[in-house]
Amino acid sequence: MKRVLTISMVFLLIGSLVACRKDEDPRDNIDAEEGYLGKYVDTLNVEMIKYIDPTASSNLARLTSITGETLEDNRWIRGFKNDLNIQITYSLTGSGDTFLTQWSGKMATGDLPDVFQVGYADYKELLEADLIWDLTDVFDEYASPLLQSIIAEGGDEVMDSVTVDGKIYGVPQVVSQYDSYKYLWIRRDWMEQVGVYDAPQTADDLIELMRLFVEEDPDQNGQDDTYAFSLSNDLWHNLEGFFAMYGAYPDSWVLDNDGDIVLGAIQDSIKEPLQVLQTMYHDGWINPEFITLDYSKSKADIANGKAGIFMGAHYNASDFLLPSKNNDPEADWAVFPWPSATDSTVVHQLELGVNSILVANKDFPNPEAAVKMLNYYYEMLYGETGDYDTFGNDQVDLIWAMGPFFSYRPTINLVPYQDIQKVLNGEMNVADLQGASLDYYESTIIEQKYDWKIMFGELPDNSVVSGGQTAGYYLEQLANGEIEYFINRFYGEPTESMAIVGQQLGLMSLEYFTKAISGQRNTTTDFDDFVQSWLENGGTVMTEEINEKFGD
Amino acid sequence: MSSKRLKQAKKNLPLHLMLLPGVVLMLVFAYVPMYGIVIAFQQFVPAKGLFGNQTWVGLDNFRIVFTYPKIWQVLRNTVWISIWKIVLSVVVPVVFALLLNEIRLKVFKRSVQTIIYFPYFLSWVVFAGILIDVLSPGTGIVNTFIKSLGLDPIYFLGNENWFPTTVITTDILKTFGFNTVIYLAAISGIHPELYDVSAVDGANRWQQVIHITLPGIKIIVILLTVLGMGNILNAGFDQVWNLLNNNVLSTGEILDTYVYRQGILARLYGQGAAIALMKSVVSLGFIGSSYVIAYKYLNYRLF
Amino acid sequence: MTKHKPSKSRIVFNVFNYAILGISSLIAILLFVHIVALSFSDNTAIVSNQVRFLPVGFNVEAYKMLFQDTRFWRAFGISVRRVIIGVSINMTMIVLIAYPLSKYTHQFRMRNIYMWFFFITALFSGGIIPMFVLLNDMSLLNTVWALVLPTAVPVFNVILVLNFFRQLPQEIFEAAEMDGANEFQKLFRVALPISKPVLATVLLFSIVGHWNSWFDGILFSTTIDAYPLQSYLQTIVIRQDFASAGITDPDSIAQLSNISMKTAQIIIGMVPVLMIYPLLQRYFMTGIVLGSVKE
Repeated sequence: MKRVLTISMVFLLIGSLVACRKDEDPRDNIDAEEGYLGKYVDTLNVEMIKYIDPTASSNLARLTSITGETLEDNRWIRGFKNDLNIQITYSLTGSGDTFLTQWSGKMATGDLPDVFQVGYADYKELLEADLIWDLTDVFDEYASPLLQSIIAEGGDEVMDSVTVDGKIYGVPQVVSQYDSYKYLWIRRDWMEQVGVYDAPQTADDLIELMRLFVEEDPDQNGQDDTYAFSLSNDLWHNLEGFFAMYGAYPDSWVLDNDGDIVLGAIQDSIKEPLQVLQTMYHDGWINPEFITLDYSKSKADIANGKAGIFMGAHYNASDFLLPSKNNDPEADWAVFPWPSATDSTVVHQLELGVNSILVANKDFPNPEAAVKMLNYYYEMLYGETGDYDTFGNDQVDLIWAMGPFFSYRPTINLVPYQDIQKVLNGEMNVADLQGASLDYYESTIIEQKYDWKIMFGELPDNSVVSGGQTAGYYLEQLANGEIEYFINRFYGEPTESMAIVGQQLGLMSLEYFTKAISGQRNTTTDFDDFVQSWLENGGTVMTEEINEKFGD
Repeated sequence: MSSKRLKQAKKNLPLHLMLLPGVVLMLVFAYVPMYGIVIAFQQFVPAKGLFGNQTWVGLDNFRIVFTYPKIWQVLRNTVWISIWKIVLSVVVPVVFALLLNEIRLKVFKRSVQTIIYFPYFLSWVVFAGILIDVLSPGTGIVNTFIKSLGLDPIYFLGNENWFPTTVITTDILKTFGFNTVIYLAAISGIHPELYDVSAVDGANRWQQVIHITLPGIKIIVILLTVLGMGNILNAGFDQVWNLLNNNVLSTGEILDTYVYRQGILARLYGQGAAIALMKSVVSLGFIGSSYVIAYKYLNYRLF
Repeated sequence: MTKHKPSKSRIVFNVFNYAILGISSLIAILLFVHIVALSFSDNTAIVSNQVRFLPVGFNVEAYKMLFQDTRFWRAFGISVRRVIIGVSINMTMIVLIAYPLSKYTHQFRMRNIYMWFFFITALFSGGIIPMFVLLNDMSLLNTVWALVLPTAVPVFNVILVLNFFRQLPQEIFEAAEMDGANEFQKLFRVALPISKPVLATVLLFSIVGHWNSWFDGILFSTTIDAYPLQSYLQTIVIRQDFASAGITDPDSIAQLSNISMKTAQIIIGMVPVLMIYPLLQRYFMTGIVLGSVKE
């Protein structure tokens, strides 16, 4: 009897919860004035979600103590209200690794927000479940020229990645594909110490330079304690550039000679550079503990002056190179061009620069608002009527990340770099600097911050070593095509089998490469075994699916 | 109902009343959410909603999980690490509790208790970071000591043969202080008279420990071991995830880290739920058997 | 008890004992000192691995940032509320449930059914997504109730206590019954007063559990303003992977003293609970057996 009672109670409870799901009345569409930034006649309430990255979050905390602004009520939110009559509210905000789980929970309640950002996988699922608007026409009608040009800066692949059967169901939030370029940073003071005064012209030159850095005691402490370069255990951040010299791309999908798309990691081109790395490890050129050094811990070797070459992103100038300068004022970092190991010029891999996709809930009556909000966002940062000083960085940094969107123009660093150079050459007046350029100029030239200088400003000019440049110099070459690159042939949502085995196959690759470098696997028979295993455990199917989708 | 039953029911009414709030809370917050177990049988897409139009795939998720070759290695690693942790997480704190019990100097006794219980509160994110330094083959303290003995340094975290041992040992280091608390409480509860009587009979300290102290805490030891057995497939996600690296996957990848990659990062919620369900069933099996064994052979009902 | 002169072997043992325990404590102390040192150190020094037991580049930046943060104090308050409410609920539930369950079937027929009812919940779970949906539908998200109700009945602690109750000498209960006591009185007047060690134990577990728990605080809150302390501290830890975070603004990267922040947060998050144990210590020392000598 008691049992019957209890069970019926359970069902009653479940039943009541299902029944009690909020059934809202459909909302009415609200009219607006004409144009890309047309203000709404009545206040349009837009419910969104916000992932705030941890740095921005702690910056926000400081901003709160200065101006009282919070995530839910700050200059961005007010701007949208005043200028567009759009009231933004967040039904979910979060930070860190748990956000994915929080968002899954939120979605599972069946209560989707009005306008929100999603990743490719969610994007696909939402449009297949017919839960979001087709934005093709809306985008054509309402996207401002600025918005369109910003998306165009990311390359054709940006729009392609969200196009399904000729239609788009969301607007890509772009970031910069150039951010994934890996620079070759070398310490010029060490080069001078070992007697090398020119940039390495070939891969062999670079390797010889590395040998000198290891064996010739460039830090002059009488001890045999230096490495060639720093390496973290996720491998790719540091090694992409190195492999690229040999035309090898271990973490990218590439075109082979037949025009098919294949995974770079299982191509024969991998063998030679991998063997070189293995020999380097064996000879003590690489920190043997790289296996347990994550990104953060791998900074130590650079900071402590144990390694004189760093292969990584431009922004690593701040968290890797700056500490080295702080510890040793003699440190003189510069970027050198990647030499080639083959007869052809080096082609670099870049990743598609899309952070997320902005979609609109089918129950939301004003889908064009999604586009107009983006128009406004970019206008405030980069437009004529905008104000980078207020909306970009102000009392604290990353204010641009405290609004409802996370996106920046792909050439974000390029124009400021070029403007700074023009000022330094006398071609431009400081007074004419605007927006981001002015902001960057302040950090670089006025405040003379070392990391900013080696990225976008100028290097110390007293070096006897020639060929070194700032990161910005090569960024410019990337942007105007002098440095060749391709975008990863695979992008967007995972294919069917990739969703199931992708993670594990990626791990298999990392495992093999880690062991190969540290000498536990060879680059001949073991490599073939790895390739075989990769193919058999879903790799073949995955490759077919990708070719079907992206091939000709 | 017979009058005897009626009388007993009336007498037991207060007991039912005592249990009532707990029952209600459990119904709402434990049994209702159990609906989510169905996710194990679906190809779950959060966007469609928990009660939405999900695709049912029957036992497919289970099939996929168990046909991936790695799963057996993962299970083996999990069980190996788990068993050692369960055993040592009882043995080590018991030994320490016994040792502490022998200390006469109250100040020392109390200080040690409080101090060793501190590492328990560190998050694994931090503790792992420290361990990576301390166990480093190049500069770590432990290997400096090993080298001073004339031996080769050991890459505790980077060598797949050493990794499980390192995981087990460091976990015990982190938690033994806190667990010692339980056993000390148990030991301190033993009738002092039992010791006095045995002293009169001529027993020395060692004999007292064997014949009085240990049996005195026998029940709690068994209880905690059995409850630990329920955790046989949890080898410690937090710890392993923070210590894991690409070189030691073959011995270090445990069920929960595998599930995190597949079930959360790769968004295969159905598979994650399938594994969770499987874990629950296994736990039930272990605890159920332990209960039966304890009852049959030790004549004790665990709960 | 007559005091004997310690035998030689006893002396050796004592030395050995003090040594082992002393070294173990020393290791724990050094660990603590190291973390404190990190929290007061300068970022460059930390990145360069220079910090051992004394701060390098002493500064209180990390602490300043935390203390000036109003959200930090709000989260602190939420944690305190959570502990008070949660522990009260826990202890009440534990006691109310362990007592009936400590009876045997011949005294209390439904006992086993109830036992399995509770025990199943400790093994089987629908996972966090259904819990989230449930709390959402009950409008409990962002409240302290989302943090204390799902874990209101800690089954393992109940089992600990019920075992303890079973070991209590039955005569005292029979005596109370003869004096006309009902079950409630037997529980509160007879059982509880002599159960101090086990109650102190589960009290400690409950306090520690609620104070340290961070995942549920993040998961069941849709806004950072609702986070308890450990959840909040968790979110201001900076992610290492800047590429996927999309940060290209070098100024922000340079400000990241992630390790000193992490360690300051640990110290602050840990200290209140470290204080608890010494306070509860004396309850562990007295009272009746947690596991008796059974023939």
